[in-house]
Order: sequence, then structure tokens, then C-alpha cells
Amino acid sequence: MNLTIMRLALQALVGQRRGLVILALPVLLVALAGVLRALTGEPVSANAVVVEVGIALVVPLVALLAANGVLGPEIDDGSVVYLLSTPVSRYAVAASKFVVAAGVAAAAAVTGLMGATLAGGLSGRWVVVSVVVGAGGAVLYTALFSAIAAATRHGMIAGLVYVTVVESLLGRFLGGFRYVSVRAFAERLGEVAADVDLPVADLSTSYAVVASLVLLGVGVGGAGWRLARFQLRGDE
Amino acid sequence: MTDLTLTGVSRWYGNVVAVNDVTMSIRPGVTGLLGPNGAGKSTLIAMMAGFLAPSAGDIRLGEAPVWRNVGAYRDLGLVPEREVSFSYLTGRAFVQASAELHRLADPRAATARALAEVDLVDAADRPISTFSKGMRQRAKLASALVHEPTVLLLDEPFNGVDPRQRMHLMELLTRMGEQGRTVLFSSHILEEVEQIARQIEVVVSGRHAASGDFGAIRRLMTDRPSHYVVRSSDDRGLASMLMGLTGVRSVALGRVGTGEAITVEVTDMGEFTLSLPRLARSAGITVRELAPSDESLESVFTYLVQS
Repeated sequence: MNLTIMRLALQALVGQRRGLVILALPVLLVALAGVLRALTGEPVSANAVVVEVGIALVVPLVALLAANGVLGPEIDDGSVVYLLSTPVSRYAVAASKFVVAAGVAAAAAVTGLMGATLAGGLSGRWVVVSVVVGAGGAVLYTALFSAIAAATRHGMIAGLVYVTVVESLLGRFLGGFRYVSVRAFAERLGEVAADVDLPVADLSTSYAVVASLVLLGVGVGGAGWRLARFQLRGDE
Repeated sequence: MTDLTLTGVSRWYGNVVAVNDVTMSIRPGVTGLLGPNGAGKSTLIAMMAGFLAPSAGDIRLGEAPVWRNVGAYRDLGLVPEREVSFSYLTGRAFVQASAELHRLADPRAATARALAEVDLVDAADRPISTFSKGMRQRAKLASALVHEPTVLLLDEPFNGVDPRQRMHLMELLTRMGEQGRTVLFSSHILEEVEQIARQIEVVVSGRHAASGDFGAIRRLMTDRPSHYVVRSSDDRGLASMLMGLTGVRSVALGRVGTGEAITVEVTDMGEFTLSLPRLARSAGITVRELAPSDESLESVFTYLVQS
């Protein structure tokens, strides 16, 4: 862990336009819940707002933006070389950047889900869901997207494909995809913590915990592995 | 820890060979890495800086390899050609980040010293996005200098820098060489390299074409057969006289560009330039045009590779 790398990563995230989008997504979610409640005059459907929009869309998207914000552009344009031509371990660089991205994503996700829960007039249990699924999901998604960003130059697109095709589309029709679905892991953890019934596929809790830990290791380790082998391509 | 040694280093990308079996040793003082664009200079510097794995061969800083050895950066500073994209940082914050990453005892003082060294004190607290090309270059240099490396590598440091700042940069590199540091910079401009480098390494098409002090390189480059195009009132008559000179290797009559002309291959430029007007005048021939046909640096480099 390196405080300087973390500070620079935070500046890169919040100091640029990407930061505004990360902030805008949870704000939109809260606004949606508030407007729906005002129009109908009764508590919103937790399933429609918190789960289908919040957990399915806002959580992965803020993590996608955060993960690619701290890793992607610097590797693509080669300017990460200024951070790497120092005696700091490349794995420490990757871990520091991951912690910042995961922290920012978790803060945005929890704020959005909890705000929507309160604005929508849902019960206290949903506050627990917001914290557990918001923070857990954001951290796990950030690990996944960090690994993807490290493996390919097209981290944003690959991440979007994962969220829209693998989780939303295929996951809906083919049950087997629950075993590679971050959303399923996070929702299982949320169910256990808050004792609510999330529309989660059948997945054992121990599998969710183990898969989460593996994902964390692969995400941070993969990004560090990529940085340890970072090659500066000449323009020629 | 001051010598950078390359032994049989090659680098290829698929079927394309960017660097071909280069063996050289970079020692304290200023060394110029000279070569045309696309010769493999950036690839070589990236490998020397540990940011590219050699496909074959070995690069060592002192005894230690540079690839996958972050400890090497304690003694190594790199000024890449790549622009700084941390445009939201001030110059000072950028340099200080480097000082902190090097775990210097007093990053603030080291930053101030490096900024003073590159003469960037006045503008240091402005964001990098407002910097001119020369100021960015100096910010990059300050960040590479902040830990006082014994070896400093610079990739095309004078590109796009205005003449006054170029002179300042040259003085700075010369001073660092005199302090006993190993300074290596790449350039495609011979004059630039000649001014400050004691030692010149020439690379062309990925190969190590020549090595030596600037006098030796200059001689290699000027004492080569050169080609001239001559147009006159009597090409055939002049051609037959030129062929009599020992410093002329061949003479050809033919179409050059828009009209007929003589193409002369000269091995002794001094004799040729003295004799041509004398011969022409004695035969009453008017010389209308005399032009070198291959004076570009590229052709000089091509010659070096062939020899």
C-alpha cells in the first residue's frame, strides 16, 4: 500500500469528469425513488427500484467507472510510467489503486442504495441490504473490472458486456451463470445479512463467500501482474 | 552502479525486428544515441529503463538486470518521450509525488532542489495543463532527477523545445555529465548530439552502426562517397574530364529530374570541389548547376549501415 499512489488515484477519480458521472448515478437512483413515491403516494417497490435499477445497474456501473478510472487511461497512454519508474512494488501500486477505486465505488453505491431506500420509504431491513450489497457488490465488481482492465485494452467495453450480456441477459435464462455472477454473490451476502428475500438464484452462501474471496485475489493480483510486466511501446 | 551494459540485445515484435543484436556499454558522462526516426532508439531506451523485455540478450545496470527489478530505479532516472498526462497536478505536486514514491527523507526539499535545478521554480505552482512544451519537458526532467540518480536516460529530450530552453537543457545535461553521472539521450539530429555528447552511439534500422567520440563519427559521415549532380553547357565534355580525376569514382550521363545532367560519385570531396571549376574554365564549359544529391542525414545513416 502506498499513500502517494492512493492520493494520486483519488485525484484522478474525483478531479476529472469521470468523478461527476460516478456521483450522478447514485443521485439519479435516489431521485427516481423519490419521484416514484411522490407520484404514487406509497412506498416504492423495493424489487423494482433498489434491486433492478440500483443493484443491477448503479452498483456495477460506478465500479466500472472507478476501476477503469484509476487503471485504464494511465496504462493506455503510457503515463503510468511516471509512477512505475520508482522503487515501489508494482503489486503495491495495483493494490493502492484498487483500494481507492473500491472505496469510491462502495461509497457511491451505498449512498445511492441507502438514499433510494429512505426516499422510497422502505423498511429498515433494506438499509442493511443497501450497506451490505452496495459495499460488497461495489468492491467485488471493482476487483472484477480491475482484472478485466488489466487483461485487455478495452476494459470499459468488456465490463459493459459482462454487466449487460452475462449478468442481465444470459443470467436470466441460463441458471448456470449464477456461478460467475458478481451480482448473485453480493445478493446472497445481502440476504444472509438482512434477512430479506432477494430474487437471487439458488447459490450456497459458502460458495458466494469463497467465490468473492477468489475474485478479490484475482482482481488485485491480476492488476499487479499486469503492472509488473508493463511495457512501454515506442511510438515508432 | 554507473555503467549500463547491453550484451547482444535484440527486440522483435512478431516478424519485425526493432533492435538487432546490440552490444554497448554506457559509461559516466554524456552519451548521445543518434539515429534516424524509426531506428529503434525509443525501443532501446525502453529496454535500458526496464520498461521492455529484450527478446534476446541482457541489460544490466552495474551487476543487476533492469527488467522486472524495481530496485533499479533507485539509481536510474527516465525522461520518456511520452507527455505527462497528470495535467490536473501542479508541476510541484508532480515532482513531489515522484520524490515521495522514491521514499526520500525530505521530499519537499528534494522537490525544491530539483525544480531549481531545471529552472522551473516560478511556474512550479501552476497546473501542468498550462505548461508549454519546454516547461513540461523540464517538469519531467525534475521528476526524473529528484532522487539524484546515477544514470539518467532521456528519450528525444529536445523535441519541440524552443532554442533558448534547448540551450538551457543542454547546459544542464553537460553539468550532470561533469558530475560523474551517466547521461544518455536520444536524438535524430547530429548537430544536437555533437554539441554535448562526448560519446556517440549510432543506431540505424535497429543495428548498432557506429560508436565513438564525435570526431570519429563526423569523419565517418563526411569521408564517404557522395553524389553530385552537375549541369553544364557541354555535359559529355565535362564528364570525360571529371573521369580523369582520382577523387572521382564514377560519372554517369543521363536524365536527372527535368533534364540531362552528369551524376558524379566523389570519394575525395576536396579535390573535386577544387578541380571542377578549373577544368570547366580551361575547356570553356559553363557550369549551370552543381548540387549534392544525397546530403540528407538519412543517406549518411544508410552509408554507415552499409560500411
